[in-house]
Amino acid sequence: MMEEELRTREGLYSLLRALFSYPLTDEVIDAIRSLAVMPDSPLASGLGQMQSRLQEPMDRRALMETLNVEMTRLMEGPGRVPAPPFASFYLHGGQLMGPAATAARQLYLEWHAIPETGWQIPADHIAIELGFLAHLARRAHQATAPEERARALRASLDFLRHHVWTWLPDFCQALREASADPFFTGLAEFTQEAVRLDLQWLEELLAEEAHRS
Amino acid sequence: MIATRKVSRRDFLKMAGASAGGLAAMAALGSGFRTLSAHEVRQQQEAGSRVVYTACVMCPAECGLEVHVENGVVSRIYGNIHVPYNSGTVCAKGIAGLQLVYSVNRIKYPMIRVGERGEGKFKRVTWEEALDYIATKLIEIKQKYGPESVIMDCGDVTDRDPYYYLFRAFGTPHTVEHGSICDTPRRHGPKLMFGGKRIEPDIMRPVLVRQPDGSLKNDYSYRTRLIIYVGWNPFTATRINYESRGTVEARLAGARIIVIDPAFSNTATKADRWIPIRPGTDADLFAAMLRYILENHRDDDPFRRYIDWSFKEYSQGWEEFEAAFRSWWDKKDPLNGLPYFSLEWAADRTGIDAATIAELAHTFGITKPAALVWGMNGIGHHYNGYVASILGTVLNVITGNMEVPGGAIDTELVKSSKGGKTTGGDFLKREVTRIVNGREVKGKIEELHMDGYGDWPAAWDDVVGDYPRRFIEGVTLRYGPFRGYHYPIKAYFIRTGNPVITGSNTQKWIEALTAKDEAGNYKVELVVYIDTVFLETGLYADVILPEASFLERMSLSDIYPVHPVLYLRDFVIRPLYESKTQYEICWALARKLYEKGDPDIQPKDFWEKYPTEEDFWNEALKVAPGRPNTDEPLPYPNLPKGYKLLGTPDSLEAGRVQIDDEKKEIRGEPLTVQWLREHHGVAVWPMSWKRFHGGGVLQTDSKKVEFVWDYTVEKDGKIERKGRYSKYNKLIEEAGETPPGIARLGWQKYPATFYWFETRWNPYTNPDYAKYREEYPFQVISGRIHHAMSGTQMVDWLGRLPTEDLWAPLNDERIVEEVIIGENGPTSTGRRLKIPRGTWSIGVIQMNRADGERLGLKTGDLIELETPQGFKTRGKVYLVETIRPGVLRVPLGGGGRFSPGLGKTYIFHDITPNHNALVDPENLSPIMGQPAYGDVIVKIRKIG
Repeated sequence: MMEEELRTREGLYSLLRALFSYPLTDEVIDAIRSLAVMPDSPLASGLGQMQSRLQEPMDRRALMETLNVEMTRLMEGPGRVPAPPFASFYLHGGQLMGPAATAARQLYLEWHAIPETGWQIPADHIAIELGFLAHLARRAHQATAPEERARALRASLDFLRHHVWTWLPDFCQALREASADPFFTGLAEFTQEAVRLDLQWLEELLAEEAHRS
Repeated sequence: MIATRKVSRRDFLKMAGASAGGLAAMAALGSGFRTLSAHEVRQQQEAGSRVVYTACVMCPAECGLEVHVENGVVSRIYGNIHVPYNSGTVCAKGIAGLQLVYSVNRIKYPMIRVGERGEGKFKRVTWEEALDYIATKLIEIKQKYGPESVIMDCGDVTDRDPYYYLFRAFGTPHTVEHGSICDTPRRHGPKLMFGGKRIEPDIMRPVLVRQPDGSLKNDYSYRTRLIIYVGWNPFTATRINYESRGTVEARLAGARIIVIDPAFSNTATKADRWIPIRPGTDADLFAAMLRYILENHRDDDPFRRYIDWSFKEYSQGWEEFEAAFRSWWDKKDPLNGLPYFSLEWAADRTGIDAATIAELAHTFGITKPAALVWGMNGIGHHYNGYVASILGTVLNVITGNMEVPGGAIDTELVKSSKGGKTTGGDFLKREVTRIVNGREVKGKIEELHMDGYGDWPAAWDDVVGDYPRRFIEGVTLRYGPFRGYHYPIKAYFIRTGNPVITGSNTQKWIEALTAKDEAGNYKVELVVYIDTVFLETGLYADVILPEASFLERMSLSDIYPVHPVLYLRDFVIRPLYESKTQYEICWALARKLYEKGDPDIQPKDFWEKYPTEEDFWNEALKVAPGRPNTDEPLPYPNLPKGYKLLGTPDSLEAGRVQIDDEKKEIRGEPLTVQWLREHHGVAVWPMSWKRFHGGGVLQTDSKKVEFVWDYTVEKDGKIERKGRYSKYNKLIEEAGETPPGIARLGWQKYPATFYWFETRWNPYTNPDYAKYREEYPFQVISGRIHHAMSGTQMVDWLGRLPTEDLWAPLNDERIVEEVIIGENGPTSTGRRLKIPRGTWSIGVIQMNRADGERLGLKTGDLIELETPQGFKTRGKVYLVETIRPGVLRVPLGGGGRFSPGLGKTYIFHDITPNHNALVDPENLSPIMGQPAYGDVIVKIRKIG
């Protein structure tokens, strides 16, 4: 059972990372199309919005173009964007490369990890933070010793609590408010719920394990 | 809001439901992370902290900086103590550099427009896509219209060489910088008479000086006794760091400071005297001062010995100049009936009483050493600024103040050379063929220049005063081999500049960039915006390229020092996001053009010649310092006097040199980027004075100061035409056609010596405009604020700080909607922001209190300014005693800013004045064609 959950977490964060990495690709769109959740899942609403947008009768190329133009407007630029995808913006008075970015960088190095883009993109970019969670999820999934797995999961929980969750709701709210496109309002909702669920799951899991030990 | 609920561990699995396996499979999308070895981690951690010496670009002063990096993040910015230009000092703008580099508003990725120009709707693309788009279009334009249809405008930062190099190689003569469109009249006198550009007081300290014992020491002494600043405000204006601190120091050391300016500027606050002159009458004042000095000079009276006749030893043509000047003395001004240049005449026009003018002339004549210095927003922005610039230069020369310790120095002539082959000047000499009136004509690329061979043959230094009109009308060459050739302007590249707000009239620019042909295509087919910040001009671009910020790129700086000083702009951090350095951008575009078959772009000129960025800048350093070993004290007494110096200061000092007697060159070890890095980022060669006397510094044909600009000399039995204007007059004579600018003055060609003409849109000096005096009672001038010409517009805390009486906390309490670029242009995000009353400085209209009260206005009232042509802008009035009655002053570039990329500066764009909205786009100054930004008259109307 645990094995499957760990693999699922890795897949979830890899998907989320890809959804916030410009440009949106066919592979990511296909992944969203193929995803199914139980109707009462907290993820259903966000996923449903995204999928409804993707089901609109529209040439695939035109659809991708529209989504990427909207993503540019929302998060990429030029100049001021409605939903800056950086933790520092929300936590440090609108400026980038604040302590949130430095702390994230240090943490990645502690885990002997570096974003494939190097440090060109601030370490607190949403896609990089989600990518780091995918990286930790893989480390947990691939761990051969229980302590190693527990360490990766604890690190995930800490990172979620102290880095990601401190700004993600504000970012998702900005995204929801700034876009009328169901794909992006859905993406905001889906992301926030998925991260919240994982946070709770990790809290429960680690609490149980602590209780057991 | 999203409804939240508690989940159990089972719920987490349930969330994926039937597709749990599918979700797990998405791990194939990857984490975007790779693993490092312990060694690599250590390397990363160590590389994250360092100190780098570099150069600022938060404004064009480009001070030397010492920048600290911790954990890969720039943490502190100090002044570089080793750069004498700013000597360890750094201003609030410089320290705010972090806010630019780490601004959320900076341009991060290449973009291609997907909406109409002006809507601000773009799509992020890869560099490959952006460069492919640009290169395809450029080649198309080149094939259809010729490369001369392309303009590369490089803004106001000195590290433009890679752009010049690429675009000149591409084949266009139109490589431009901000100075090409800003204040050319100011520079005219020094250029004409010295081959120079910029006269400044000798107050850069320290200066490195050879001592009698042969050693070199920093000299901190100020010898200046008098500085007269005319329309020049170094305390606020960007550009010359040492003039603000140097003025204070010089005054403490006994110098007298006089500021002549319609407004009580920050510089005036530190002056002994402020004289509020009427705008646009600086030439009148200088003419009266010169006449007074000539009439009252006595060789035998130490109290009236104004003229130091030794200037005749290193000049020529004074007699002709003086005769031409005196020839006006008996003529009467049709407006006031008084003899030209008399004290009474000048008093009537300048608004300064005759006794004060006489005292000013006497004081300047008798006090030595002294410097008469004029600025950009004054003389540089008036239709007849050329006349003032020439007269000011003459006054400095004949009083013996040029190049004496504590006097005036033309910094252009004595700063270090740099650039050399990297400017791409050689490409302009290539021969090209064009079909003109059905005939095949050959000529050089440079002879296709839109202004230099178009309407403005005296447009030297790549001046292009006459755009955006040329964007709409195209170019017809009147002079040179291509006379009669017509071509359109089809591509415009703008880098670190914002002409829509700061070049000519704003509305005219928008018209030019959005004009369409009958088929509905934009007439200017390609607009590319290259910058770190997103300013108004970017809204009209087809492609946006993110240029690395000043802490992420390499180049050289040397802003008007009084002796050769050159310092490095170095990589403090690597370029963030997908921004690239200017070298990287140009080399990538060159490759793309080459791949697409552009025959003018060859590997041997680019990546084979300069494979790395450092190679390119090392080439630029080869010509440094490039100045002669002259005069007192001789910089290198162990080396031949008068020979050109090349190489590092230490090799020249140690005599590790090769001496070429034929070329009269002393070649030390070449200066390199690495040498600079090992020497705190800066090379300083020794100061000397009297360099005009010693020879080799002046860049005129005669190598002397020239008072006559079109003359003949006999050489080897041949008569040769010489002088700065002779080249242009020859073109005019060959073509048999007078340039329209000077034809309007009634001239056939450029005068050989002193000339006079009135400014325009000035009802007090020009009879043609006297009729407007009643209906349009206010003259409008512009002033600098800390946001003018700076990369600071988006720095919020600088936005809060008042500047003079131009940028004041006059905001009402506003609950403002945050605005960003939406699908259909600027759009509210719905997020609200409260700005309490009186907490935020905004651009205002400075008005004399008496004027305001007479009109029933009070500070904070919203008024509209309107010119006779119907150009309008609006802003809040600020009533103060610190401006001459009848004059309004607005901040240059400080209002009406409509790019949401500016953050909060944008918020008040509807109640802040845009000076350039009022500029008459047809009022081009007659010699070089630059818009006369400072000649504006308005009426006012209260609107709120």
